[in-house]
Amino acid sequence: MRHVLRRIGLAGITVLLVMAVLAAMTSLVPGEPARVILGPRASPELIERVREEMHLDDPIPVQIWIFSTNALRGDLGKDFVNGIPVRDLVANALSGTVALALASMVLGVVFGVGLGVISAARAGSLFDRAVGVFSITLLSVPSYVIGLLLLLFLSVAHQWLPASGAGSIEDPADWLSRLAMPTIALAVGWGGYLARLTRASMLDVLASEHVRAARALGLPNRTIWYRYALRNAITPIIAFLGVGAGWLLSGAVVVELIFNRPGLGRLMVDAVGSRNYTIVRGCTLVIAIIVIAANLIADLMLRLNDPRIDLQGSGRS
Amino acid sequence: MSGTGGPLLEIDHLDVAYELHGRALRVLRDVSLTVGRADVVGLVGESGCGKSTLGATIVGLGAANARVTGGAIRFNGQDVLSLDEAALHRLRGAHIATISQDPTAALNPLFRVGRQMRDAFKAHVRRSRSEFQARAVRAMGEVGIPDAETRLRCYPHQFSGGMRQRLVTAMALMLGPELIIADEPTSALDVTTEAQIVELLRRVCAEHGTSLLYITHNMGVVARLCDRVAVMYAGSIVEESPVASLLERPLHPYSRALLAAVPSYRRRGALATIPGSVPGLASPQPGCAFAARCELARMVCTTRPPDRNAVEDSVVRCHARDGSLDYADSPPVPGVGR
Repeated sequence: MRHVLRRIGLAGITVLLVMAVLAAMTSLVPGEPARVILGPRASPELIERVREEMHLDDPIPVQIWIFSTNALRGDLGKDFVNGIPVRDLVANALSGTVALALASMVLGVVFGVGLGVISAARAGSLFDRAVGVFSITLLSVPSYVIGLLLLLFLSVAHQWLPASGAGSIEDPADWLSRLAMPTIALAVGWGGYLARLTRASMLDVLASEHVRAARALGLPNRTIWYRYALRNAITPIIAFLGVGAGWLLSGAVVVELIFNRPGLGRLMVDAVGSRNYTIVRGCTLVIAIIVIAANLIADLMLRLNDPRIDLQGSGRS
Repeated sequence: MSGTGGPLLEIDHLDVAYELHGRALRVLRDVSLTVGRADVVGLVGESGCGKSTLGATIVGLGAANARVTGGAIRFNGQDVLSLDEAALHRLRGAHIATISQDPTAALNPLFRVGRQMRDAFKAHVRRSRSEFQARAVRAMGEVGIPDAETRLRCYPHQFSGGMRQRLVTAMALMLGPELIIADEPTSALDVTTEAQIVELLRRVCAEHGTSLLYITHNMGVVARLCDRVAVMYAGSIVEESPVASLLERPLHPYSRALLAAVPSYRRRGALATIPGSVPGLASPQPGCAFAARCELARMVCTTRPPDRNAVEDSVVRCHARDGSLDYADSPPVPGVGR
């Protein structure tokens, strides 16, 4: 239990560090920060407002303090252009992005882990080699290319699925139909990678002495496979899911643009275009928190899966 | 599996080859070995001589590229090599248990030992949970694990190395097998623990009338534990003798060299070694595999493999022991041996 609390504390410290870096970033670039942020053609009034809004005249530690304490209270500053609180903008955009990322994660895990396990079970077979080629192909095609191909085929050529927008959760069928293509586009590369990882991990475990010992005890193959080996093989997969959350979110940014879905990606790209620094900063912080949380969850899941991890962490053996 | 009058395990002229890059490497050549009921048989030899391959082949768990190219294995009179996968599953664990080298690696680290034992139990016996509990606790008591009910809820890493080997032994015993194949079960343990485990195996096998095939390179353990011993060299059993007669007068020159290489507190100074090295699998010799290292080798040894010959209670594969004139008339090999 102590280790769990320590791990959570560590995640909290990481969030604070991210906040400090985000707050200090503006001042670390040379020149007048407000001008750097807003660009050469900004009006003097806007520059003045930004200087005040972001406390740019204060020393850096004070800026970090103000930004961090505000952020902890849920205040991420205001949009430069129309004064809407960044928190509201991010909160609105977040649900769409999280839905997309989660759906892709689930789809990728189901297909990736499933194909990986079956490939490992039939290692060397035609099926295994086909899955190998297939997943490497999926892995090497960028998600936006897959997205465009899906659009061309399913929306332009056949009008089976709506091409853009996110719809509303109030109309679940419409919402799901709009979620489908972006989810597939994002999940494909991820699923391909998971298939490779699962296969390798499974083969590793199946070659281990305890699987041999289980066979020598006459355990049925399905018990050995799906109860014993899979649970051993899942360790690198969980670890990867933690890291992969960042991959999914950055992928979501691109996919949202292609399918014109409102979300963090859309919000960030627009904000970068209009040099709306507080929005970029707010989005970055939220994404960082999600990634840190995903890693924390992955870590705790590994701990649940493997009873030995607590001992390793504390230096006993 | 019903008992018949014959021996428990009969290995008959077994040939096993590993397929590697389209070539077949013969790892077991014409291996014949019999294990009777309640017999304790030792199988000794250097690393890589094929002892573990033999142990794995008996229960159908040889390497993926291993092929049985000839001979037969009969357990209780039944041909093991012709069994289908389901029958092999029933055979393993319930009739032939295997104890492997490293007890730490043989237990799945992510599952409580009670769960692992229960799964093994359920694979063979349709009985209630309480029946399992009783059997598991009894088996653990027999191998000297105190407080079994609590220990069943522990993970493997919470046991010491010696306790883990006891645990693996308990798992093997729980299902009441007729034969236990122990493949160097003590090589990962320290000497004191090794002595305890060997004594434990001797005791439980004697109490249950279980046969034991004990694979090792440790002659000291063989002397303490076994009734008979088979000496393997380069995939062949070169000598099979009662333990006492092997220790007192080894028949095969390799057995003799092997015994001379065992350290003893009575002898000081450098240990005897066997000159030369084991022939590679890729370049099989036409004659006796040991000929190149043998001090008794003559021309006939390098050209023709020796047959099995019964000498008193032993079986030996050596031209020098077959009593024929071929060896006596054969000229010495120039430059080989000493």
